[in-house]
Amino acid sequence: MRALLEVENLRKYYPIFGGLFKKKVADVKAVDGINLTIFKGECFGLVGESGCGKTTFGKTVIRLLKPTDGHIYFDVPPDIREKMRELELDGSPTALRELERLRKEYDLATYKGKKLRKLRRKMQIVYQDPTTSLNPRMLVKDIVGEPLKVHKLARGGEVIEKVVKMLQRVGLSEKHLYRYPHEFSGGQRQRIAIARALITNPDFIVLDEPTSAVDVSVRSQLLDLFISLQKEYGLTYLFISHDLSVIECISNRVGVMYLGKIVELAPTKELFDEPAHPYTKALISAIPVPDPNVKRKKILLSGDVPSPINPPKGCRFYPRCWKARDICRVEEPKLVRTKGNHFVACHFPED
Amino acid sequence: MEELLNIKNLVVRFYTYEGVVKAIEGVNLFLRKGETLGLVGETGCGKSVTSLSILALVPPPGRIEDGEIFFKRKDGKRVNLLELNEEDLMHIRGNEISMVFQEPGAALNPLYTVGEQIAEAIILHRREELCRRILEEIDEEMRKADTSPIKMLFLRFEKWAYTKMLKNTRTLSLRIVSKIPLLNLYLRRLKKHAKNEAVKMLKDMRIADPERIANMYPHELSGGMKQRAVIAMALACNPVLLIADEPTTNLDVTVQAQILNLIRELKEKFDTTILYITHDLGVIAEMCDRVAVMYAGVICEIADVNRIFEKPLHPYTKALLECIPRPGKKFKSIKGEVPNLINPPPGCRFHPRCPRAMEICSKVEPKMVEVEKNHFVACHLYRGEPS
Repeated sequence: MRALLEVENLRKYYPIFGGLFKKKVADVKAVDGINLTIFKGECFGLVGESGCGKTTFGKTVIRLLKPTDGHIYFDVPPDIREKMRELELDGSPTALRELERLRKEYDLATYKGKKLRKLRRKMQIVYQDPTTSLNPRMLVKDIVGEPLKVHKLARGGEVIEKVVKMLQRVGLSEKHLYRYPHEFSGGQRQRIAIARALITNPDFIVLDEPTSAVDVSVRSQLLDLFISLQKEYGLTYLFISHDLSVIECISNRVGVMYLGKIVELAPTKELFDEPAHPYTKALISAIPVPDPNVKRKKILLSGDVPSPINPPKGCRFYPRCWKARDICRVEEPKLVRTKGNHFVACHFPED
Repeated sequence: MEELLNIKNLVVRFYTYEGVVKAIEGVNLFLRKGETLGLVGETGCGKSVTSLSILALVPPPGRIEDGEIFFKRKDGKRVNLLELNEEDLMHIRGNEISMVFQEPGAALNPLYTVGEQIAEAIILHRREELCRRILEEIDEEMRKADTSPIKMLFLRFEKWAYTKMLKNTRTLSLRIVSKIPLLNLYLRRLKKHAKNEAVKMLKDMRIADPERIANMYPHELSGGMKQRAVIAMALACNPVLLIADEPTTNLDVTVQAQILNLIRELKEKFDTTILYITHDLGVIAEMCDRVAVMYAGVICEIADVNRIFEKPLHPYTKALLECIPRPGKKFKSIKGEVPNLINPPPGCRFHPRCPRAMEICSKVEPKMVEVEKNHFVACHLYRGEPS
């Protein structure tokens, strides 16, 4: 499988200013060193509790935010990536200079202006709350047609034509063209947002909790739509959600995030059948099962998620972990492969 | 089992500019003492309006048009909540029936500390108990030999004030005294006692370090903590009935698990009956004894929790269960949308989306029938004993 998006050591810090001269006093470490590869045509699920940095990660990856540190490679030819890896291993000054040059050309984190705008067409985002992500003063035809004008993909009558086609594809129709967002129900609004994201014919879409503001029945309709659109357009998704049951049914691989870091990464089935990280175990056991006969033993975590300004030293999960030992307080576990495609960041994943 | 609440033929309508929204059309529901009844349905199906009508809190332009809500009070009297005057309702709200709302951030006042807010509910509803305890304390202090004459005088004044308060808070003399500087210092004792109660309540909510949390403002707390504080406030007066309106919808799964566990424990401890409103069938399966499924302002099925999940009868219940994503099972979605309640479809309200709709469905509204014991369905497919 070909990698579509590769993220290396990505960090995004939000500075906090304080004191008399508004000096920088601390950082909110929203995303703190993430390495990740998303393959072409897959749906990658990203789960975690609120405030763990999922959304920041999603926005940084498509460069709506500028990363503090790290590299993002989007759709870079495989031979060039191979060369970059070799250069990195080489480590000699000339090699490093060459690597620097290649990075400037291909690293999305360094892109600016026109170059970035050109790539924006290829990556889109659908937000959680369609009420706030759609401009209440714009007609549906303008909302969905605007990306075409911005990227100069269509002109005049062609725009409307494309808009109608796209609206029909997401389950709306021509009669909705001259309406405002407030005239629609939550599910329909989310469809408009999806149409807007798809109209530039992107390769990669970040779905940032697209189903958490809607009802169960609408949720299943939207999930159906996402699955069929992915097949039709060959899309790659980064599906961000806190709802594990949704993630389970839509994604191929899942990453679990905790306090700005990925703690576990595995194919969906493996993750849900044999979770290795204690946090993943607790998270999965906490999902309410819609069956009164199933009485699952719950792992109740004590306390709240610590502040990302001052994350705990060592393993970030140790203050809430029931397996924590001395080493967890001191040394931060690395994300290592346990078997196959299963990666865990824990000192004691076996027991 | 003993019946605690009985809603009979409730009709609520909202008079808006666009037309009359028929939010609730003839809801019949009863709650037994000690059980947890789950009320499930999609947004806008009338779950929350049902719960607000129980407290007679339907906001304008809504009006309760018809129906009766019988409630068995703490003293054993059976009353119709919709016929009570405002004063009696004030005694019931918070004291006998209390409510936990969905958004804990919006349910708390940002200008007061959490402790003060819980204390307010305690002062309002448990005044007599507090006053008695305070009077005992004053008596004890007066008995001490070494109190100075001035302090003695003030203690005597306090005793007079609290004896009055025990009977009625709003007597003229007390209202005047509470406005006079220095003299109104007697209120400090009441506040202190109420605050202690509040801290005790917070401790029951499994909050570590309740003294510190009681002195914090809502914005300093996380969502789970806020919801705990709201639950503490609701349970402060030991209500018979607790209405929980989607209390965990905005919380993370791990926090949700904590809160659900807490509610279950508190139910055992305080012996409350719970009306649990949610759209999450997973939560229903975990929390409830019986389930009522609502669709577009009417209840379409009521049964024990096991029955609903094992053998749902109403097509809507079936569809709702099928659209939950579950591992290994393909989910199906319900076609179409929830109808507009200004012009609801005639006959059965679900018929435009129903896969098994018949001719009769678009004409005659189905009546609630008891298909099996304790399993009620409103659908033309089933003919049982009319309830």
